[in-house]
Amino acid sequence: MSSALTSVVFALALDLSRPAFAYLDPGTGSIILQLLLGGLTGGAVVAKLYWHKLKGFFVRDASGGGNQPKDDAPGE
Amino acid sequence: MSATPVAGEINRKTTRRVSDIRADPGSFRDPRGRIFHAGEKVYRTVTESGAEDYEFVRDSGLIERLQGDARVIASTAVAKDVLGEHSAGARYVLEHPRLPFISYPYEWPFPALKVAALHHLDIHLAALAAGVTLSDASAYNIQFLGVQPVFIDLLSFRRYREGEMWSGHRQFCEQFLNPLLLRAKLGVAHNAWYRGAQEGITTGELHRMLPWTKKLSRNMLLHVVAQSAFQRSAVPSGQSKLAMEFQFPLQKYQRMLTKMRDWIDSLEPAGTGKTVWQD
Repeated sequence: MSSALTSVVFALALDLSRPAFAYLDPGTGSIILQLLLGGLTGGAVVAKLYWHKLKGFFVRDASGGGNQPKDDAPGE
Repeated sequence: MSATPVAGEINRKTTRRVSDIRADPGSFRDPRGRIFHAGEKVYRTVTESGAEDYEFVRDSGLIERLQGDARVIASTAVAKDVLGEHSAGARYVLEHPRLPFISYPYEWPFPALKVAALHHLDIHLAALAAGVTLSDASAYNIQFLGVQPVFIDLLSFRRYREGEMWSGHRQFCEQFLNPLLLRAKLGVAHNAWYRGAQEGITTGELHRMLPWTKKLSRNMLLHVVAQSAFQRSAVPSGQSKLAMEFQFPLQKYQRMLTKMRDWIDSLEPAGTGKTVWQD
């Protein structure tokens, strides 16, 4: 894995470390990790799954509320 | 350990009916088969739901090779009537040699758990090379004959389906990796915790215990930090099928197992200084 992708994983991991109350299944963490290890295609799937969080991490709006899910998140 | 007969051949010499047959109380979760004890003999049934995978794995020659190296417990196909009414629903009945001693991962010292983890990964890698995979990663599927690890659950082997992920990864982490990391990173033996949590130590629990200075390596970041964070994160339910449809390349799957093996092979117990028993 490139250092750039490792950085994105780390950033995602930091940003996703808040408690949540919905799960794919008991192995969600393992499945998403394997998506990332699966190469560019898997990384793209993760990016789509977490598009709203990624967008919030990289594009903070002026009001400071940029980490909230957006209505235009793809696939919803 | 007895020799394995030719694949599919039934050993008629051992097909005498046995009284006093009892189901193993710990063998009830797998719908594909069950373990029975009859005196000194140990039998495994393969039900209709497990028959197709069993036949595929048997015919691949993988089991025969692994049994030849004593890496998987020996088995002999016997006639179903050896189990009498207990064979109801079984397509096949196999006889295993009785192990002289059963032990559990929470009883093993660090080196034994490490050897068992490496053995599991080696078996899985050999399986993938033969078009077979393992359906789980239970540490209880490894036993020891002397100091040699042996894989005991034939029904964990099933046909590999192209693009599938490592379904046992989370379980492998909880039952092998995390207990080893507990000792290697924190100097805490896994035994007491594991004995009270026999499904293993969850990645979330390990993540919360470790100081950030212990999480900075690539492997720790991936298998502990990221896995724990993703486990706790919410994914919109409508998008979960995206992950399910992803095709995990076999080469990446094998690389993941190989890297995990290299990592575990490098782990050494911390906190092994002098004790009150030493001068």
